[in-house]
Amino acid sequence: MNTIILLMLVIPVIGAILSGYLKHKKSDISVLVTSGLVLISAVYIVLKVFPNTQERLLIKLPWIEGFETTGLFGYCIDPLSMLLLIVVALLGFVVMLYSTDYIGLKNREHPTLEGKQRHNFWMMLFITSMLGIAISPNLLQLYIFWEITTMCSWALISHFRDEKSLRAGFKALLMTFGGGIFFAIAIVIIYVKTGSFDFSALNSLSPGFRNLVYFFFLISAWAKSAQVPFYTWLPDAMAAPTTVSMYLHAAAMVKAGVYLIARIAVSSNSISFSMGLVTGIMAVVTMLVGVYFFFFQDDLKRLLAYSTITHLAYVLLGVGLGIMGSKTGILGGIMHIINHSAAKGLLFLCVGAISYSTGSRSIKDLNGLSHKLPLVSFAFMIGFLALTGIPPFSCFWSKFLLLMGTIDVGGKIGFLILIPFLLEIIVAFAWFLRVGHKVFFGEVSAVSAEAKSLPLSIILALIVLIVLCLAAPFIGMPLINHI
Amino acid sequence: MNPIDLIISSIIILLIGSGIVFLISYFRPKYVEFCGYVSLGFVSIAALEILTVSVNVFMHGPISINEPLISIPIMGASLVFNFDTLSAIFLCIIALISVLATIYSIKYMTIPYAQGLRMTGYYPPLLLYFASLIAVVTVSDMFFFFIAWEFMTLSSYVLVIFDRKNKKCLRAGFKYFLMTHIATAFMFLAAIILYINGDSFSFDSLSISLRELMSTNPVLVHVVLGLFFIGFATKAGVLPFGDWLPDAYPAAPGPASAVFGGIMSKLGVYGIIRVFCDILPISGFSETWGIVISIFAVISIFVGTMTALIQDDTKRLLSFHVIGQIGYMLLGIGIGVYFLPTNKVIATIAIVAGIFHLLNNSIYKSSLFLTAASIFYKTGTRDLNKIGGLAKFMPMTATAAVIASLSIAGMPPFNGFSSKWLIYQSAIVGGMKNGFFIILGIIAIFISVVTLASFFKFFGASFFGKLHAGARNLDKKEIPKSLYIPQLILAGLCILLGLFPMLPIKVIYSAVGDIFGSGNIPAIGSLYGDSLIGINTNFGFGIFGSWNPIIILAALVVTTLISYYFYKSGKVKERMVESWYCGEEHTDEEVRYPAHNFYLPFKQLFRIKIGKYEREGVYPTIPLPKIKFSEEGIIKRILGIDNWLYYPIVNFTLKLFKKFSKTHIGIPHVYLLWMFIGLLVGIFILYVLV
Repeated sequence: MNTIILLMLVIPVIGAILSGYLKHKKSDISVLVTSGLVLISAVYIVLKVFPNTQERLLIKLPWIEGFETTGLFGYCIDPLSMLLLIVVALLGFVVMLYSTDYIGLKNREHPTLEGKQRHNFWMMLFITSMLGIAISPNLLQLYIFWEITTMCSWALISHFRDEKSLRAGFKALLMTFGGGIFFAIAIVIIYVKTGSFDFSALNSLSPGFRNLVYFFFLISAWAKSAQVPFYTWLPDAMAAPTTVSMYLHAAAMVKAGVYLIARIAVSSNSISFSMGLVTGIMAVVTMLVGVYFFFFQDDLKRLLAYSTITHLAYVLLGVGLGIMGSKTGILGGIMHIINHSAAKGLLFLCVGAISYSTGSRSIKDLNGLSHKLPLVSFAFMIGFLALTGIPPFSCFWSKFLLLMGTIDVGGKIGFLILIPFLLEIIVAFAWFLRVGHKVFFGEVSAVSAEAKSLPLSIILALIVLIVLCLAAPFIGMPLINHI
Repeated sequence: MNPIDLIISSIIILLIGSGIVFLISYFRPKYVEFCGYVSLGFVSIAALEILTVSVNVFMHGPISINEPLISIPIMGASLVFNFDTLSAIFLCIIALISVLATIYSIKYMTIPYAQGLRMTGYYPPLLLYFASLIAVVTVSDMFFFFIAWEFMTLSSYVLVIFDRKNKKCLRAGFKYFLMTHIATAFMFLAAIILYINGDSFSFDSLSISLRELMSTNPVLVHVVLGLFFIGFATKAGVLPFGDWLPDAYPAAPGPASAVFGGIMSKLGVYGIIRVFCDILPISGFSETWGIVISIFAVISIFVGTMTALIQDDTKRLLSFHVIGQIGYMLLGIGIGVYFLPTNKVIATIAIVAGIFHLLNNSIYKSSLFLTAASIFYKTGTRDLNKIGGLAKFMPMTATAAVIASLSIAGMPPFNGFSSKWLIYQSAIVGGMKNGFFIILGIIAIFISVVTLASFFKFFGASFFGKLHAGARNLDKKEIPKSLYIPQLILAGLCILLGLFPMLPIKVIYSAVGDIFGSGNIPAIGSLYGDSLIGINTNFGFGIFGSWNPIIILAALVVTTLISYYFYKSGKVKERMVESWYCGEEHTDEEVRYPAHNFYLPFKQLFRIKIGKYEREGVYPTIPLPKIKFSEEGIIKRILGIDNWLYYPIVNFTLKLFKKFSKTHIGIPHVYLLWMFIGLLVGIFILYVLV
């Protein structure tokens, strides 16, 4: 077990170095093999641990004072980390498969092979850091991997090295790193006051410090997960290649922030009601802000970015409801991590496929694509249905739990949250339905008419995620049952 | 196999069938009829299975299985099936119409194929749709009920947008999906509110928590019931919630609209029956909501049918009649719900009448939609102005259409009459207890005449009169057998149920008995008499009614025979001549009486005029203003935090850095100066601190 976990962390690093060193096809193959191995080991770990709720190891560090007996670094596998582990490993493999052809000369939006090795290198390094976040047993280790993901995100957003993407990468780096400072301060406060880096160390703080520390964590999560008031970096980060947008800025990295808050809310039971209220209200505000920006977007990727912002707010809303006393709420929020990754990942890959084959991502220019790209339009519609919560697809289940949680909290607060939440659900549904109709149905426009056929790797990636849109609740449900 | 296995396997068979047909139609788009036959195979097997279940229920009473198949403890949901007689009736309707519509599709779908549409968008969602229909009427757990319900919405939406290049269809599909989705969200809310007060989503548990809420929080009960009502009424097409219906039904391909008209709108009524008769305990709330349901019902009857009168598009005309007819059913049910706490006799007769009308309606309404599809198949148009005289070469279709039209208009001795007669009776007798219902009853009776008028227009303009000039070159052959036989079967059922109304009434009575407990409603003999041939209603306080279709039919037959005898004995010689236009010379087109000119005075009477807004008819569709989003709104400026917070901060910092960098000028003396100043400052600080 220990070796497997160690391997799981080391393999992607090896993959990163190999893919950065090798040329073209060989780089792709090394990436595919290593990310495949990561997927296998992650699935193995989950299957091995699953019926139990926790497997934990801390390596003792006799040379560091204070950690001779307790240990500082190690791993902790519980249902929550398994959930993130599966998301990271599975989508990581899918996105690497997708990128083998996506970043290439046939891509009509960016027909270049330049920088492919760099892309592969940073992606594989990102997989390592994200896996590290998932298995972290305490706050310190989580913080270290957290900052590595920030670095990878900066490097990948600036991938094309033009003015726009450099600015976007710099902006993202500043904002997420700024949030990270609050994370560091919070950890220092905890360590000074309790002498431990454990997630549950919050319980032994005095109530005043506990709220303060939680609030600092919340700020860093808002920055990492692009919530109000730090949401502005995410739409700009769409300057990155679609693989990066899909993996870092929809499925995995932005999940780290909400994962941190969920982790803290699960392991400490003494956060005050008012902090839960702050989390919930800000989540609802973020939803409304995100939805408001839907109406101005012409770029499909930016639209999806704003949708990601609202959906990360769902997770925070669930956590907030959980702190306010609704168990179903927090479970729904946690389950939304995997459900949203499946749906949003699929949508991003569809948009990537569209720009690959037509060279455009503009809603205005695209029309009637279903006649040219039937599979992509099918996949997009499935992704849209999954995202907006039509049963039996993925997000329906978590949205339903969140609705139950909202009504469970009840009273004026429940009502205050319920109304904007419902509004967001309905408006987002209507807008995505409209966009789907516009882009895929109707008469074929000039840009759509020139759509080229798609390579096998992209088709395979789409099919895997279509299946995942149906299967995600089946993975998420048993896991959250054990939290 | 036990019933539950049959139901599950029928659903699974349809799902598998959908997958197989999808593969065939995706990889071999040319096999249009073959896809139809394969679908027919799957649908018939499933139909046989669900028919077996419903016969089983009719014979042995309701079957309930308490062992949940799937259970989700976090959500308090468990997949439980419950087959009572009401479900069984619906299963029969589904079996009948699904098979007939699929048979019809085989030949019909060659027309859309010829227009370049692929079958991937038709047969697979159709089979999914049938599967979800079966699940909707058998599941007895609110959570899974809604899953099936949303799945039904989803698959029917795919059918509505079948013609993907047509903007009208897309708009209709958008409107339909959005409105029903919002409605379902309302129902979810209602169910969750009840769930929080209980501990499970099963119908029984919801009923218990509703009863508890009645004493603790009556306002919330009204909210819950209101949400449920809006949700189901939207699906049923009750005005004003059913605004999507006249757009969406015509957009789907012919046989699919027949299934929509025959089953889907009725499932809204099914939901209302389940909530207001089954889940809602009998109480003062029943009276309030009985009146609400009746009022909305009558609004639908009036507005729906009056608007149908002025329609020239066959399917749109029929769609407005769907709205009107749903009103009749809900009128019966509304009266029934109102009288549940006070008068069981009126309540039972009214609810039975409502369900009976539902059964009749799904038969003739699907037949009529098939007629419209046949007309389209033959002539390629849905515009009543451009057809006419089709009876000459579509005699079978014409026969079926006439029977179905007379049924929907409530002409004796067809089935529509029996149920409408019962609804009028309960409205009028109910009016003796509460005068309000008399008004509703009178409106309903008046509108029945309008229905007849509207269908005179429908079949008069399409089957009788002179051929439209554009239709002269049509192939004079009758349409294929597989198109008119389903219609004839449905027409035959109209006659059968019309002549022997007690057969369905007995079954429906036991369905109502299942809902309330058979001991709680009056015995069937005391309500309808013991004779199987006619209905003899008895309202218990000296008011009786009697309807015997066989005797009426006998009288009609005898008089027909007598007049035929007179006609024959006169020995008049028949001769066929051209129409005589009073000696003037006209082309046929000038003297044709097109559908548009029917009932002109009516159209002028019911004209809405508010300021500049003016339109024919009483149907108030208001064109939505185009939404424009300003790029320079105040909200956008506030929310663009970048521009007023982050960029200024970053720019300021960068400027600061630049100023600071100016100190590095590369001259060693200056650096030495800086070091000296720094040293002094450090010493000063240390001095202050120590």
